[in-house]
Amino acid sequence: MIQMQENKLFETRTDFTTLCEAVAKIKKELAKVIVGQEAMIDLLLIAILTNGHSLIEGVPGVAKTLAAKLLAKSIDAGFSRIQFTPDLMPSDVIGTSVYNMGKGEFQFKPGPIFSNLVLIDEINRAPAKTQSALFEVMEERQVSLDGTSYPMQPPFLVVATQNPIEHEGTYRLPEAQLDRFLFKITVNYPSVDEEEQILNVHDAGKHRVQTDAVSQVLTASELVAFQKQIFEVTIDASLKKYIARIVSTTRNHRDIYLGASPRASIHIMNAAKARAAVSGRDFVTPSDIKEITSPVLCHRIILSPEKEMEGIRAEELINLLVQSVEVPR
Amino acid sequence: MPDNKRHITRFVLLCILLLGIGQFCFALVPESRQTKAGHFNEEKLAKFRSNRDFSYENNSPMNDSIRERIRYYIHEFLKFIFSDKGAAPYIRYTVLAAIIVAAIVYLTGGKYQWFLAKESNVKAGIVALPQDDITQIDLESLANRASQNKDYRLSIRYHYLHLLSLLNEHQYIDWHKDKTNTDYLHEIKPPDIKAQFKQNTVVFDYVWYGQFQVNDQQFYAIRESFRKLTESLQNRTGKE
Repeated sequence: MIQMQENKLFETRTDFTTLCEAVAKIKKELAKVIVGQEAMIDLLLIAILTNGHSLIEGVPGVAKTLAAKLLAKSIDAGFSRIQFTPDLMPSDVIGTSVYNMGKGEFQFKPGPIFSNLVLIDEINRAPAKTQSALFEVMEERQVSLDGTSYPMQPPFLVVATQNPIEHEGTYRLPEAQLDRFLFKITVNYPSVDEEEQILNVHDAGKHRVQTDAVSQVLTASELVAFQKQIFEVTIDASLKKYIARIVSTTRNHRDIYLGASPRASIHIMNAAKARAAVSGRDFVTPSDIKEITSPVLCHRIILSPEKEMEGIRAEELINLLVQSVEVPR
Repeated sequence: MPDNKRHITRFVLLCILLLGIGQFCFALVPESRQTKAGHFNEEKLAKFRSNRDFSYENNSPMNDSIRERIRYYIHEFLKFIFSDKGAAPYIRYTVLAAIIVAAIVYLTGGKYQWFLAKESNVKAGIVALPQDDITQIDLESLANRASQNKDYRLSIRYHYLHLLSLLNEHQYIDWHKDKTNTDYLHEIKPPDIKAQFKQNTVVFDYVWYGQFQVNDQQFYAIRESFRKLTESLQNRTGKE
């Protein structure tokens, strides 16, 4: 009789060992500085493997920007940071054409968006005009200016941070832009134990040393290869239907004013594939889908005015919706 | 009440008077204006009856269009079934029962397992699960039938569902349609049951969601693993 061990019974069709090792290394590097926040780091890693943009939301001082900076530092790729302010103009982000006296012609001067990993800090402090500058580059990964398209070099990932909308001096992001983000990752306060650990690290003066100690463990070309490998993950037809049914419930619910788009379904599927790959599997399970549904959907739906007045959060409603959909088995 | 009696007496006298006047007037009508009873001409009636245009009951449809003929035959059939002079009662009820069964099959789209005995489940391919109680389905029979047909993937699915059914029965898990296998794994407390269930869950995930093919030898090993956990559960009294 053969041994009843799943790893002996089934030979994996796609080998994700290298990918899993790389993910473990990045996590180890980030853990040198960031205490706790494992869920945020896991989602950020899934996002970069899915080639998706992330929006990190949380109150000031919970390591949103630090996490994005350290993630960029652990990858050997171009990095730029844009601080969004109320007076920021679209040309400050995407670039502009400047007249070259010597050649007698206009030349395109690329903006800070032309990089591999772009950190947009406090994205909701800029008005809608500047936000709209990101529409094309985030979805089509190119910038069109004066009739010319300038493609971005892969990998191109935006990691944006924002304070909750209720805070002073913030604008609500347009729905079209929110839809372009793969995840909205909500960062909460650390637990008491974690906060004590943070204090110990800072008290010993190790914090700054450790920030510098974060080293590059992944190259841009390796990341692009991993992103391609994610598409080799198998997803059963019943699970695609499961995703479609979850997303469809957001469109027919009386407490939801605006439901999720088909892009949300695609993002759930891709993120579930990445989660499966990070777990070393080459196929998706319902748990993969269920785990990432809330971060994919929570920023794409708009609650009805009654529910907003009642103080219901989108995450709570999404969890209820997911509970109403049968897991295929 | 003398006044009332007087009124009644007057009313009765008035009625008698009116009746008498009516009889008198009828007697004054001349004899020539009185009604005479008519008689049918039997020869003319026979002539009309022989004319096909006036024969409503046995109107042969042979000269009509196809549509008219079909309508005629349906009408004749229904008349035969439902009229008292037509079919015998048992034929009538048989035809009615056949129509009802056909309607049920049509409306349920052939998914009438709930209507028949459990045996029908075995004949079905993939059975839709009831929302709250998976013990309603004879999963063991389904698993055995699938393995006999060499459909090992389906058989493993039914074996796994049977495990979930037993775990629910012994209150190790609380079955609900929205829960994933990982959710159930978190619900199980006894370490030995949890370890065995975890192993079986991984196998089920690989075979069902991962679409991995299973050969005879692999299937027997997997089935043995499922059987061990099933026996462990059946030997226990309940939630620990």
